[in-house]
Amino acid sequence: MGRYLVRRVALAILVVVGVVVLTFVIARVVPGDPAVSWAGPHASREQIANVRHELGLDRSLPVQIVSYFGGVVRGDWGTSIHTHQPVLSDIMDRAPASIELVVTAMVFALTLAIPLGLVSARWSGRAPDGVIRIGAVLSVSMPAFWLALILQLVFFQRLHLLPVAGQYDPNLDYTHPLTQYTRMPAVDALITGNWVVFRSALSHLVLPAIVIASYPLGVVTRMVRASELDSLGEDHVRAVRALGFSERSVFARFALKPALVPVVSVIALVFAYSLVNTFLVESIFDWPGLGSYAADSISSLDTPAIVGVTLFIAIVYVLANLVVDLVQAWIDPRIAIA
Amino acid sequence: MRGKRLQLLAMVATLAVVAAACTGSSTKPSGGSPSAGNAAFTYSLTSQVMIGWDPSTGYSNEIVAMNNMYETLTRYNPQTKSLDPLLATSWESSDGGKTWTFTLRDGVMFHTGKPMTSTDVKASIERTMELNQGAAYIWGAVKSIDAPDPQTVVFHLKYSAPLDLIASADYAAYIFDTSATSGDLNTWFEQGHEAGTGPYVLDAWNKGQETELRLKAFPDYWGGWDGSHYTNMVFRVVPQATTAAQLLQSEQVSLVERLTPQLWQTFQSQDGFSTTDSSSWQTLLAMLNTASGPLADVRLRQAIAAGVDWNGMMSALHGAAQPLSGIVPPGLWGHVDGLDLTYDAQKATDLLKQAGYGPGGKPLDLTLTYLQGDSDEQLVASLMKSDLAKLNVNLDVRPLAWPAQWAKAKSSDPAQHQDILLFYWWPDYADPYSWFINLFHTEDKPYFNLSYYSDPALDTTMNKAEALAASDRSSAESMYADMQQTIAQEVPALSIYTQVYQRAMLSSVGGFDENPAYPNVVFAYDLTPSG
Repeated sequence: MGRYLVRRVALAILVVVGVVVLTFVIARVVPGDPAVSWAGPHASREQIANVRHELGLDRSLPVQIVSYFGGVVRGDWGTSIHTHQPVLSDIMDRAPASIELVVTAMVFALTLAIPLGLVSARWSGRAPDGVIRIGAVLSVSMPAFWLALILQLVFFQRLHLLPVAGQYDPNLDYTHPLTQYTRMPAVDALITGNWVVFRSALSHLVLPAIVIASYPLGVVTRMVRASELDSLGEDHVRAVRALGFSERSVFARFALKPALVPVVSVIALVFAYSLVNTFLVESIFDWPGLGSYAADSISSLDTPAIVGVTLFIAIVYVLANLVVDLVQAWIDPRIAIA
Repeated sequence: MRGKRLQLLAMVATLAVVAAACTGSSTKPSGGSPSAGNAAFTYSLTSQVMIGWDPSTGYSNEIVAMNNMYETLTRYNPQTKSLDPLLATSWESSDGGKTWTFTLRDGVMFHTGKPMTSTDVKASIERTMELNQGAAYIWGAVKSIDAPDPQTVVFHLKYSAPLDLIASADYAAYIFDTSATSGDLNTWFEQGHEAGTGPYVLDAWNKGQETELRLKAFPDYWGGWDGSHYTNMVFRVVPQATTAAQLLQSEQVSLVERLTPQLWQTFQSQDGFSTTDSSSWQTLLAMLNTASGPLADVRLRQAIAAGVDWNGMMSALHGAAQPLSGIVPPGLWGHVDGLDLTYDAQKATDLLKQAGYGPGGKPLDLTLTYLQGDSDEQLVASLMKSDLAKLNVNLDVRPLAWPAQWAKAKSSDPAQHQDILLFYWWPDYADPYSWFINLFHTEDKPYFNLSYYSDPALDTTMNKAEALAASDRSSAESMYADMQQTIAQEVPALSIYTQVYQRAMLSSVGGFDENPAYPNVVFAYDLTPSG
């Protein structure tokens, strides 16, 4: 298990380095000068030349990459051309909001998807299965922006039940000021016992979390169903059946555990997908996450920010996969040996 | 069994949280102003507000907040087309516009608690000039600044320039307390501090958050707080127009910077809301390549000007733009009427024919570049393409990010240059000179003169006009009128439209007047909350 872990971590680092080099080179090869964006709309030639020098853009590409990696190791991810702030601090300011949203959505999706998948497999071919399968296809194929707008229209505009946008009611800043620790309002409010803000933060989370949960919900439901049905046909399941275990026990214990291995790897994939999917949803729900930051940095050719966001997502992606590999190895020891 | 029970529990918990969230919050507005009792004015903007915090170098979105925290010596008034006093109560020029004396307002305090004197004005502007970033170039004429007594500042210039207008600039003209910190002032500003004299002080800055910035009333403001004023100002970043519209509808924001024209129209006839639309100084120009390629022939440039249905284009823009007569937009001195672009397909055909092109002749192939992601420019480009196609002109339309679009246009290889380039131009202070010196003055290497135009007579006239802007405004105005006439004939550029600011706000927001000299700035102190 130890050697397996070392090998996986080494591979993860290689993947991250590769992604950064690739992004860096592509962002620099694109025509246009990032110093132009930094210096402002009507800047003079002299100002732009000064900026080029200050940002180190007048050095050769390999020198820039090496110095960038040196910085990354020291915690200096460069300075954003768009916000004029350190990229790492920009990302740390915005990532918690995205992570709060995706994690809520994933928890929401999984607590529904696993039981639904099992119900579907248990009564395969019958009415509940049919309903769940149609629901799963719908939730996978529904475009996020469309679902978001419909939910806003129904729950905000028509029913006045849920807020339209933001993380919590900004007027509460005057009446119930929130102390920030994690930059996730729901978590901060919970830690500090600020229940008014907590309730407001939860109500603001519901709609965007449902939109993001839609895709993983459908995928995981279908995966659980298929995987459980496969597993039910395996020899070991027939063996425990023959031994006289109850159908419920066969279903939820002996068939479920091996069925979870492929499900876990799908979960890692949809997690990474959801993190990127969040970008669009964030902009619709005015959620101050990485999405708008990434969009702004792309339109202003903000290389340090583009590379920074890519690096961050690559790290999250690789970490998620690493965790999945370890969980799989834990569920099924045969994987580590292989 | 245990696992299943846990799952059931988790499901019930999730449902309970959702139910609690749904019932717990009342999202229906309680009525009245967004935060009754605080008299907060909430401004909904489409992108991050505080790009920089340094009043000397800030050259982006931050002016919408800075103009409420900082003040300048003078402020441009688009109604009178002249300057109003702000930190300076009076000013005069002598020596043919080469010496400017400003008398400062009495009893002005910085937010740091220090009274403002002439040495602060001198130190502020000298720091801005020394850092030489952003819009600092506007002070290029200044040779030295004197502070002979606490209420008087004297500027000595290298050449005559309208310093009263320059001092009203929306960037790089703020007066601040340069002794605000004992440490490094640059670092102190960038950490999110301010040291202005304006009506509002910084209350909270939540970088990257939706409610990004909160300002509160400065009790010692020289204008005082008698009468009806907003005592708080909140900046909310709402990129999506549909979301912004819903927030306004539920009275969670007071004024929205920009909606789509369709959404904006829905507020026009609604009770409880009011709308304004006024012409900005953001002008969309098509720069035509006068140096190389087919458009070096003036007849073809004139044919392009006549060959597009400009009025049809304006209707397609649904009120987001107004046709522009000449180069200088309305509301700015130097504007002239009667130079609108007019559609005349027959004239265009004749001109094309004279040059050997047109329907039945050989096709004219042109390239056009515009700013990627700008839907208005995209619409303009595609309408130009379809109208010109009827005249056997093939327009190859290419969207590019600005740094790429500019790099292509500035290339040392003329073969790289586009035939037509769409871009916006606006002045950094209330002076038409900005368009002429930057866009039409001869350049050895192209920089902003992206029609590569050169007319020595025009160069001389524009420099004369700038020198006279300080001492003899009416002569300067007639020179600008002549120059715009020349441009209409020579067609180095087509001035297509000015953007229109379409604002929607609660009807309880009183006294809102657009000031195009300060794009998107709402001077919250001048508003009167009611209702």
